[in-house]
Amino acid sequence: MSEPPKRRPTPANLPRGPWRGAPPSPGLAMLAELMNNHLDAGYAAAAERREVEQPPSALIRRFRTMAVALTLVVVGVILAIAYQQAIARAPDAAQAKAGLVDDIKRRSAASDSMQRQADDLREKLAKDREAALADSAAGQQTARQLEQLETITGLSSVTGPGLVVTIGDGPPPVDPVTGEPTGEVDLARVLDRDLQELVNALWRSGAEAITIDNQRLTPTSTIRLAGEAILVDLRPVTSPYEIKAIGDADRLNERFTGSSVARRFRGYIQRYEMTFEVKRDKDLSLPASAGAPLSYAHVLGGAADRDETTPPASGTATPPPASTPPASTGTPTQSVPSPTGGGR
Amino acid sequence: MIPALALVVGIAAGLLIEPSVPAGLQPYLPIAVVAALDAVFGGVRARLDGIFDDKVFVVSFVSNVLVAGLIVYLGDKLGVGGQLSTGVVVVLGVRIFGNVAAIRRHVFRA
Repeated sequence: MSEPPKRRPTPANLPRGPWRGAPPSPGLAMLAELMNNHLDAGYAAAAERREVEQPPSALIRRFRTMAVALTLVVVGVILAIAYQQAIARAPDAAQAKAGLVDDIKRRSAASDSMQRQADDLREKLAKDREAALADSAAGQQTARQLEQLETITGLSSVTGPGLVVTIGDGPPPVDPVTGEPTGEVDLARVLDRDLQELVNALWRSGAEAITIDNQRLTPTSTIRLAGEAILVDLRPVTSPYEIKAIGDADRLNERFTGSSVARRFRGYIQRYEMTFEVKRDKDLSLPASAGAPLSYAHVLGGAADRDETTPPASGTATPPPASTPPASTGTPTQSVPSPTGGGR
Repeated sequence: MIPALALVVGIAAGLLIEPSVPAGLQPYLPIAVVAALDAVFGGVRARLDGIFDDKVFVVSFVSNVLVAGLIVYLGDKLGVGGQLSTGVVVVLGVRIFGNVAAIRRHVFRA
Protein backbone atom coordinates (compact mmCIF):
# COMPACT_ATOMS: atom_id res chain seq x y z
CA MET A 1 0.00 0.00 0.00
CA SER A 2 2.91 2.36 0.64
CA GLU A 3 4.17 2.52 -2.94
CA PRO A 4 2.74 5.45 -4.84
CA PRO A 5 -0.10 4.58 -7.18
CA LYS A 6 1.43 3.68 -10.50
CA ARG A 7 -1.33 2.05 -12.38
CA ARG A 8 -2.48 1.84 -15.91
CA PRO A 9 -5.13 4.52 -16.12
CA THR A 10 -8.36 2.71 -16.73
CA PRO A 11 -11.35 4.81 -17.64
CA ALA A 12 -12.98 4.12 -14.31
CA ASN A 13 -10.30 5.59 -12.09
CA LEU A 14 -9.85 8.66 -14.18
CA PRO A 15 -11.51 11.06 -11.72
CA ARG A 16 -8.54 11.91 -9.56
CA GLY A 17 -8.72 13.80 -6.33
CA PRO A 18 -6.82 16.93 -5.46
CA TRP A 19 -4.07 14.74 -3.96
CA ARG A 20 -2.61 14.27 -7.40
CA GLY A 21 -0.03 16.97 -7.09
CA ALA A 22 0.57 16.63 -3.38
CA PRO A 23 4.05 15.90 -2.10
CA PRO A 24 4.59 12.18 -1.58
CA SER A 25 3.63 11.18 1.91
CA PRO A 26 2.99 7.54 2.76
CA GLY A 27 -0.18 8.29 4.68
CA LEU A 28 -1.51 10.54 1.96
CA ALA A 29 -0.63 8.06 -0.75
CA MET A 30 -2.40 5.35 1.19
CA LEU A 31 -5.50 7.47 1.62
CA ALA A 32 -5.45 8.47 -2.05
CA GLU A 33 -5.10 4.82 -2.96
CA LEU A 34 -7.96 3.91 -0.71
CA MET A 35 -10.24 6.65 -2.02
CA ASN A 36 -9.42 6.33 -5.71
CA ASN A 37 -8.46 2.78 -6.53
CA HIS A 38 -11.31 0.64 -5.47
CA LEU A 39 -10.60 -2.10 -7.94
CA ASP A 40 -8.21 -4.87 -7.12
CA ALA A 41 -4.94 -4.06 -8.87
CA GLY A 42 -4.77 -7.67 -9.94
CA TYR A 43 -7.42 -7.16 -12.65
CA ALA A 44 -5.41 -4.52 -14.44
CA ALA A 45 -2.24 -6.57 -14.10
CA ALA A 46 -3.99 -9.65 -15.44
CA ALA A 47 -5.39 -7.69 -18.36
CA GLU A 48 -1.90 -6.44 -19.13
CA ARG A 49 -0.58 -9.97 -18.96
CA ARG A 50 -3.30 -11.23 -21.25
CA GLU A 51 -2.19 -8.82 -23.93
CA VAL A 52 1.28 -10.26 -23.90
CA GLU A 53 0.65 -13.93 -23.25
CA GLN A 54 -1.22 -16.31 -25.50
CA PRO A 55 -4.78 -17.22 -24.50
CA PRO A 56 -5.15 -20.26 -22.25
CA SER A 57 -6.52 -23.53 -23.54
CA ALA A 58 -10.24 -24.28 -23.54
CA LEU A 59 -9.85 -26.75 -20.69
CA ILE A 60 -8.23 -24.18 -18.43
CA ARG A 61 -10.89 -21.63 -19.38
CA ARG A 62 -13.65 -24.03 -18.49
CA PHE A 63 -11.94 -24.88 -15.22
CA ARG A 64 -11.66 -21.19 -14.37
CA THR A 65 -15.31 -20.60 -15.13
CA MET A 66 -16.16 -23.43 -12.78
CA ALA A 67 -13.95 -21.89 -10.10
CA VAL A 68 -15.75 -18.56 -10.46
CA ALA A 69 -19.12 -20.30 -10.29
CA LEU A 70 -18.03 -22.21 -7.20
CA THR A 71 -16.80 -19.01 -5.57
CA LEU A 72 -20.12 -17.34 -6.26
CA VAL A 73 -21.95 -20.32 -4.81
CA VAL A 74 -19.86 -19.89 -1.67
CA VAL A 75 -20.65 -16.16 -1.64
CA GLY A 76 -24.32 -16.97 -1.96
CA VAL A 77 -24.15 -19.45 0.90
CA ILE A 78 -22.35 -16.90 3.08
CA LEU A 79 -24.99 -14.29 2.33
CA ALA A 80 -27.77 -16.76 3.07
CA ILE A 81 -26.17 -17.85 6.34
CA ALA A 82 -25.64 -14.24 7.39
CA TYR A 83 -29.26 -13.44 6.58
CA GLN A 84 -30.49 -16.40 8.52
CA GLN A 85 -28.26 -15.60 11.47
CA ALA A 86 -29.53 -12.04 11.48
CA ILE A 87 -33.18 -13.07 11.57
CA ALA A 88 -32.46 -16.03 13.82
CA ARG A 89 -30.74 -13.87 16.40
CA ALA A 90 -33.68 -11.53 17.04
CA PRO A 91 -36.09 -14.30 18.08
CA ASP A 92 -33.23 -15.78 20.09
CA ALA A 93 -32.96 -12.64 22.18
CA ALA A 94 -36.73 -12.52 22.62
CA GLN A 95 -36.76 -16.18 23.52
CA ALA A 96 -34.01 -15.74 26.07
CA LYS A 97 -35.94 -12.87 27.61
CA ALA A 98 -39.16 -14.86 27.70
CA GLY A 99 -37.25 -17.75 29.21
CA LEU A 100 -35.90 -15.51 31.93
CA VAL A 101 -39.35 -14.14 32.65
CA ASP A 102 -40.69 -17.69 32.85
CA ASP A 103 -37.83 -18.59 35.14
CA ILE A 104 -38.62 -15.69 37.43
CA LYS A 105 -42.30 -16.55 37.50
CA ARG A 106 -41.61 -20.22 38.19
CA ARG A 107 -39.13 -19.43 40.94
CA SER A 108 -41.41 -16.95 42.63
CA ALA A 109 -44.27 -19.44 42.43
CA ALA A 110 -42.03 -22.06 44.02
CA SER A 111 -40.95 -19.54 46.63
CA ASP A 112 -44.58 -18.67 47.33
CA SER A 113 -45.55 -22.29 47.78
CA MET A 114 -42.60 -22.85 50.09
CA GLN A 115 -43.65 -19.77 51.98
CA ARG A 116 -47.15 -21.20 52.38
CA GLN A 117 -45.67 -24.50 53.47
CA ALA A 118 -43.53 -22.70 56.02
CA ASP A 119 -46.58 -20.83 57.27
CA ASP A 120 -48.55 -24.06 57.63
CA LEU A 121 -45.71 -25.75 59.45
CA ARG A 122 -45.27 -22.77 61.72
CA GLU A 123 -48.96 -22.84 62.56
CA LYS A 124 -48.75 -26.55 63.24
CA LEU A 125 -45.71 -26.01 65.39
CA ALA A 126 -47.52 -23.33 67.34
CA LYS A 127 -50.52 -25.62 67.87
CA ASP A 128 -48.36 -28.54 68.92
CA ARG A 129 -46.40 -26.36 71.25
CA GLU A 130 -49.56 -24.97 72.75
CA ALA A 131 -50.87 -28.49 73.26
CA ALA A 132 -47.61 -29.59 74.82
CA LEU A 133 -47.47 -26.59 77.14
CA ALA A 134 -51.13 -26.71 78.13
CA ASP A 135 -50.57 -29.47 80.66
CA SER A 136 -48.90 -27.56 83.45
CA ALA A 137 -49.38 -24.12 84.98
CA ALA A 138 -45.77 -23.22 84.27
CA GLY A 139 -46.25 -24.40 80.74
CA GLN A 140 -49.36 -22.28 80.31
CA GLN A 141 -47.51 -19.24 81.51
CA THR A 142 -44.69 -19.96 79.11
CA ALA A 143 -47.21 -20.34 76.31
CA ARG A 144 -48.77 -16.96 77.13
CA GLN A 145 -45.38 -15.34 77.24
CA LEU A 146 -44.43 -16.92 73.96
CA GLU A 147 -47.60 -15.70 72.34
CA GLN A 148 -46.89 -12.18 73.45
CA LEU A 149 -43.35 -12.28 72.27
CA GLU A 150 -44.35 -13.71 68.92
CA THR A 151 -46.95 -11.02 68.42
CA ILE A 152 -44.44 -8.30 69.07
CA THR A 153 -41.73 -9.84 66.95
CA GLY A 154 -44.12 -10.54 64.10
CA LEU A 155 -43.79 -14.29 64.27
CA SER A 156 -47.50 -14.96 64.64
CA SER A 157 -50.44 -13.77 62.57
CA VAL A 158 -52.56 -11.10 64.22
CA THR A 159 -55.90 -9.43 63.66
CA GLY A 160 -57.27 -6.10 64.80
CA PRO A 161 -58.36 -2.64 63.74
CA GLY A 162 -55.97 -0.27 62.08
CA LEU A 163 -54.99 1.73 59.03
CA VAL A 164 -54.42 0.84 55.41
CA VAL A 165 -51.99 3.18 53.69
CA THR A 166 -51.73 2.82 49.94
CA ILE A 167 -48.99 4.53 47.99
CA GLY A 168 -48.29 4.11 44.30
CA ASP A 169 -45.88 5.33 41.66
CA GLY A 170 -46.86 8.32 39.61
CA PRO A 171 -46.67 8.14 35.82
CA PRO A 172 -43.09 8.08 34.52
CA PRO A 173 -41.82 11.22 32.78
CA VAL A 174 -42.73 11.12 29.11
CA ASP A 175 -41.39 13.03 26.20
CA PRO A 176 -43.92 15.74 25.40
CA VAL A 177 -43.48 15.18 21.67
CA THR A 178 -43.32 11.44 21.21
CA GLY A 179 -45.12 10.34 24.34
CA GLU A 180 -42.40 7.79 24.92
CA PRO A 181 -40.83 7.41 28.35
CA THR A 182 -37.80 9.65 28.40
CA GLY A 183 -35.77 7.43 30.69
CA GLU A 184 -34.92 10.34 32.92
CA VAL A 185 -34.70 9.95 36.66
CA ASP A 186 -38.24 9.13 37.66
CA LEU A 187 -39.12 11.39 40.54
CA ALA A 188 -42.62 9.97 40.78
CA ARG A 189 -41.38 6.53 41.77
CA VAL A 190 -41.82 5.28 45.28
CA LEU A 191 -38.41 4.60 46.74
CA ASP A 192 -37.36 2.30 49.55
CA ARG A 193 -36.76 5.44 51.60
CA ASP A 194 -40.39 6.48 51.17
CA LEU A 195 -41.64 3.15 52.45
CA GLN A 196 -39.16 3.28 55.31
CA GLU A 197 -40.38 6.73 56.33
CA LEU A 198 -44.04 5.73 56.10
CA VAL A 199 -43.46 2.59 58.14
CA ASN A 200 -41.46 4.48 60.74
CA ALA A 201 -44.20 7.09 60.93
CA LEU A 202 -46.73 4.31 61.53
CA TRP A 203 -44.59 2.76 64.25
CA ARG A 204 -44.23 6.21 65.77
CA SER A 205 -47.99 6.70 65.62
CA GLY A 206 -48.54 3.59 67.69
CA ALA A 207 -48.82 0.74 65.22
CA GLU A 208 -48.33 -2.67 66.76
CA ALA A 209 -47.97 -4.77 63.65
CA ILE A 210 -47.29 -3.70 60.08
CA THR A 211 -47.27 -5.42 56.71
CA ILE A 212 -46.16 -4.14 53.33
CA ASP A 213 -47.97 -5.97 50.53
CA ASN A 214 -48.78 -8.71 53.05
CA GLN A 215 -45.14 -9.01 54.11
CA ARG A 216 -45.08 -8.77 57.89
CA LEU A 217 -42.38 -6.57 59.30
CA THR A 218 -40.25 -7.79 62.17
CA PRO A 219 -37.61 -5.98 64.22
CA THR A 220 -35.01 -7.26 61.78
CA SER A 221 -36.94 -6.52 58.59
CA THR A 222 -35.27 -4.56 55.84
CA ILE A 223 -36.84 -2.38 53.16
CA ARG A 224 -34.38 -1.68 50.45
CA LEU A 225 -34.00 -0.94 46.79
CA ALA A 226 -32.33 -3.60 44.68
CA GLY A 227 -31.98 -2.36 41.15
CA GLU A 228 -35.47 -1.35 40.11
CA ALA A 229 -37.37 -3.34 42.72
CA ILE A 230 -38.06 -2.75 46.37
CA LEU A 231 -37.39 -5.75 48.54
CA VAL A 232 -38.97 -6.30 51.91
CA ASP A 233 -37.02 -9.02 53.66
CA LEU A 234 -35.62 -10.12 50.30
CA ARG A 235 -39.09 -10.52 48.76
CA PRO A 236 -40.06 -8.05 46.04
CA VAL A 237 -43.07 -5.78 46.51
CA THR A 238 -44.66 -3.78 43.71
CA SER A 239 -46.55 -0.55 43.29
CA PRO A 240 -49.14 0.24 44.54
CA TYR A 241 -47.72 -0.60 47.92
CA GLU A 242 -50.28 -1.44 50.56
CA ILE A 243 -49.12 -0.85 54.09
CA LYS A 244 -51.42 -2.27 56.74
CA ALA A 245 -50.89 -1.30 60.36
CA ILE A 246 -52.78 -2.63 63.35
CA GLY A 247 -53.36 -0.30 66.27
CA ASP A 248 -55.94 1.97 67.80
CA ALA A 249 -57.50 3.01 64.50
CA ASP A 250 -58.62 6.48 65.55
CA ARG A 251 -55.46 7.42 67.35
CA LEU A 252 -53.31 5.89 64.63
CA ASN A 253 -55.24 7.75 61.96
CA GLU A 254 -55.02 11.04 63.80
CA ARG A 255 -51.36 10.79 64.60
CA PHE A 256 -50.32 9.37 61.26
CA THR A 257 -52.27 11.76 59.06
CA GLY A 258 -51.00 14.63 61.17
CA SER A 259 -47.40 13.53 60.82
CA SER A 260 -44.97 15.45 58.66
CA VAL A 261 -44.35 12.34 56.58
CA ALA A 262 -48.03 11.99 55.64
CA ARG A 263 -48.20 15.71 54.87
CA ARG A 264 -45.23 15.37 52.59
CA PHE A 265 -46.73 12.43 50.74
CA ARG A 266 -50.04 14.25 50.32
CA GLY A 267 -47.97 16.94 48.64
CA TYR A 268 -46.53 14.34 46.28
CA ILE A 269 -50.05 13.60 45.00
CA GLN A 270 -50.17 17.08 43.46
CA ARG A 271 -46.55 17.34 42.52
CA TYR A 272 -45.79 13.93 41.01
CA GLU A 273 -49.28 12.46 40.59
CA MET A 274 -48.35 9.69 42.98
CA THR A 275 -51.20 7.94 44.72
CA PHE A 276 -51.41 8.17 48.48
CA GLU A 277 -54.40 7.08 50.47
CA VAL A 278 -55.05 6.43 54.15
CA LYS A 279 -58.08 4.36 55.12
CA ARG A 280 -59.30 3.08 58.45
CA ASP A 281 -60.19 -0.57 58.68
CA LYS A 282 -62.06 -2.22 61.51
CA ASP A 283 -60.79 -5.70 60.88
CA LEU A 284 -57.30 -6.20 59.54
CA SER A 285 -55.64 -9.57 59.46
CA LEU A 286 -51.87 -9.61 59.17
CA PRO A 287 -49.94 -12.77 58.38
CA ALA A 288 -46.95 -13.95 60.36
CA SER A 289 -43.49 -13.11 59.19
CA ALA A 290 -41.36 -15.87 57.83
CA GLY A 291 -38.90 -14.70 60.44
CA ALA A 292 -35.23 -15.44 60.12
CA PRO A 293 -34.29 -18.01 62.72
CA LEU A 294 -31.67 -16.69 65.09
CA SER A 295 -28.66 -18.92 64.90
CA TYR A 296 -26.14 -16.98 66.93
CA ALA A 297 -28.15 -14.78 69.28
CA HIS A 298 -29.09 -16.53 72.52
CA VAL A 299 -31.40 -15.42 75.28
CA LEU A 300 -29.36 -14.20 78.24
CA GLY A 301 -29.03 -16.82 80.97
CA GLY A 302 -31.40 -19.14 79.11
CA ALA A 303 -30.62 -21.77 76.58
CA ALA A 304 -27.02 -20.71 76.16
CA ASP A 305 -25.77 -24.28 76.16
CA ARG A 306 -28.14 -25.44 73.48
CA ASP A 307 -26.78 -27.46 70.63
CA GLU A 308 -25.64 -24.87 68.10
CA THR A 309 -26.04 -26.98 65.02
CA THR A 310 -29.78 -27.34 65.24
CA PRO A 311 -31.55 -24.19 64.25
CA PRO A 312 -33.75 -23.03 67.06
CA ALA A 313 -37.46 -23.35 66.60
CA SER A 314 -39.05 -20.01 65.94
CA GLY A 315 -39.85 -18.25 69.13
CA THR A 316 -37.46 -20.05 71.43
CA ALA A 317 -34.86 -17.37 70.99
CA THR A 318 -36.53 -14.01 70.85
CA PRO A 319 -34.89 -10.83 69.72
CA PRO A 320 -33.80 -8.39 72.39
CA PRO A 321 -36.71 -5.91 72.10
CA ALA A 322 -39.03 -8.52 73.56
CA SER A 323 -36.95 -9.24 76.62
CA THR A 324 -39.12 -6.86 78.62
CA PRO A 325 -42.60 -7.83 77.53
CA PRO A 326 -45.25 -5.22 78.05
CA ALA A 327 -48.54 -6.03 79.73
CA SER A 328 -50.40 -8.68 77.86
CA THR A 329 -53.12 -6.47 76.44
CA GLY A 330 -51.29 -3.19 76.57
CA THR A 331 -50.11 -1.49 73.46
CA PRO A 332 -46.39 -1.67 72.96
CA THR A 333 -46.05 2.05 72.52
CA GLN A 334 -42.33 1.84 72.98
CA SER A 335 -40.88 2.30 69.57
CA VAL A 336 -40.04 -1.01 68.08
CA PRO A 337 -36.69 -0.86 66.28
CA SER A 338 -37.29 0.88 63.03
CA PRO A 339 -37.23 -1.52 60.15
CA THR A 340 -35.09 0.59 57.99
CA GLY A 341 -32.64 -0.77 55.53
CA GLY A 342 -30.26 2.14 55.60
CA GLY A 343 -29.50 4.52 52.80
CA ARG A 344 -29.28 3.41 49.26
CA MET B 1 -24.81 -15.65 -16.90
CA ILE B 2 -23.28 -18.65 -15.20
CA PRO B 3 -21.89 -16.55 -12.31
CA ALA B 4 -25.30 -14.96 -11.64
CA LEU B 5 -26.93 -18.39 -11.68
CA ALA B 6 -24.23 -19.71 -9.35
CA LEU B 7 -24.90 -16.87 -6.93
CA VAL B 8 -28.64 -17.58 -6.94
CA VAL B 9 -27.97 -21.30 -6.48
CA GLY B 10 -25.67 -20.53 -3.56
CA ILE B 11 -28.25 -18.33 -1.84
CA ALA B 12 -30.98 -20.89 -2.40
CA ALA B 13 -28.76 -23.68 -1.08
CA GLY B 14 -27.83 -21.64 2.00
CA LEU B 15 -31.47 -20.87 2.72
CA LEU B 16 -32.71 -24.39 2.13
CA ILE B 17 -29.95 -26.43 3.75
CA GLU B 18 -29.42 -23.99 6.62
CA PRO B 19 -25.84 -25.02 7.26
CA SER B 20 -24.84 -24.44 10.85
CA VAL B 21 -21.84 -22.23 11.47
CA PRO B 22 -19.46 -23.36 14.21
CA ALA B 23 -19.81 -21.07 17.19
CA GLY B 24 -16.16 -20.08 16.96
CA LEU B 25 -16.62 -18.77 13.44
CA GLN B 26 -19.82 -16.86 14.00
CA PRO B 27 -18.16 -13.55 15.01
CA TYR B 28 -16.37 -13.52 11.64
CA LEU B 29 -19.51 -13.98 9.59
CA PRO B 30 -20.36 -10.27 9.20
CA ILE B 31 -16.78 -9.49 8.19
CA ALA B 32 -16.84 -12.40 5.74
CA VAL B 33 -20.04 -10.99 4.24
CA VAL B 34 -18.47 -7.55 3.74
CA ALA B 35 -15.31 -9.08 2.29
CA ALA B 36 -17.31 -11.29 -0.05
CA LEU B 37 -19.41 -8.33 -1.21
CA ASP B 38 -16.21 -6.40 -1.89
CA ALA B 39 -14.86 -9.25 -4.04
CA VAL B 40 -18.16 -9.63 -5.89
CA PHE B 41 -18.57 -5.92 -6.65
CA GLY B 42 -14.92 -5.75 -7.65
CA GLY B 43 -15.50 -8.64 -10.04
CA VAL B 44 -18.63 -7.08 -11.53
CA ARG B 45 -16.85 -3.80 -12.07
CA ALA B 46 -13.83 -5.50 -13.62
CA ARG B 47 -16.16 -7.30 -15.96
CA LEU B 48 -17.82 -4.04 -17.01
CA ASP B 49 -14.38 -2.50 -17.41
CA GLY B 50 -13.57 -5.41 -19.68
CA ILE B 51 -10.65 -6.61 -17.62
CA PHE B 52 -12.30 -9.39 -15.62
CA ASP B 53 -10.02 -12.28 -14.80
CA ASP B 54 -11.27 -15.52 -13.26
CA LYS B 55 -8.13 -16.26 -11.33
CA VAL B 56 -7.89 -12.76 -9.86
CA PHE B 57 -11.52 -12.92 -8.83
CA VAL B 58 -11.23 -16.28 -7.06
CA VAL B 59 -7.97 -15.39 -5.38
CA SER B 60 -9.21 -11.94 -4.33
CA PHE B 61 -12.34 -13.43 -2.83
CA VAL B 62 -10.50 -16.09 -0.84
CA SER B 63 -7.77 -13.73 0.32
CA ASN B 64 -10.27 -10.99 1.14
CA VAL B 65 -12.30 -13.25 3.40
CA LEU B 66 -9.24 -14.85 4.98
CA VAL B 67 -7.37 -11.61 5.60
CA ALA B 68 -10.45 -9.86 6.96
CA GLY B 69 -11.12 -12.80 9.27
CA LEU B 70 -7.48 -12.94 10.32
CA ILE B 71 -7.36 -9.23 11.13
CA VAL B 72 -10.46 -9.50 13.27
CA TYR B 73 -9.16 -12.66 14.92
CA LEU B 74 -5.87 -10.96 15.74
CA GLY B 75 -7.75 -7.93 17.00
CA ASP B 76 -9.87 -10.16 19.24
CA LYS B 77 -6.72 -11.72 20.66
CA LEU B 78 -5.17 -8.29 21.23
CA GLY B 79 -8.34 -6.87 22.72
CA VAL B 80 -8.98 -4.42 19.89
CA GLY B 81 -11.30 -6.64 17.86
CA GLY B 82 -14.03 -4.02 17.72
CA GLN B 83 -11.73 -1.32 16.40
CA LEU B 84 -10.10 -3.57 13.85
CA SER B 85 -13.50 -4.81 12.70
CA THR B 86 -14.50 -1.18 12.23
CA GLY B 87 -11.30 -0.56 10.29
CA VAL B 88 -11.91 -3.53 8.01
CA VAL B 89 -15.51 -2.54 7.44
CA VAL B 90 -14.52 1.06 6.66
CA VAL B 91 -11.83 0.07 4.15
CA LEU B 92 -13.98 -2.56 2.47
CA GLY B 93 -17.00 -0.28 2.62
CA VAL B 94 -15.12 2.51 0.82
CA ARG B 95 -14.06 0.05 -1.84
CA ILE B 96 -17.55 -1.32 -2.25
CA PHE B 97 -18.93 2.19 -2.61
CA GLY B 98 -16.29 3.10 -5.17
CA ASN B 99 -16.88 -0.04 -7.19
CA VAL B 100 -20.64 0.33 -7.09
CA ALA B 101 -20.22 3.92 -8.24
CA ALA B 102 -18.12 2.70 -11.17
CA ILE B 103 -20.71 0.04 -11.97
CA ARG B 104 -23.39 2.68 -11.84
CA ARG B 105 -21.43 4.84 -14.27
CA HIS B 106 -21.15 1.85 -16.59
CA VAL B 107 -24.79 0.88 -16.39
CA PHE B 108 -26.52 4.26 -16.38
CA ARG B 109 -23.78 6.31 -18.02
CA ALA B 110 -24.19 8.78 -15.22
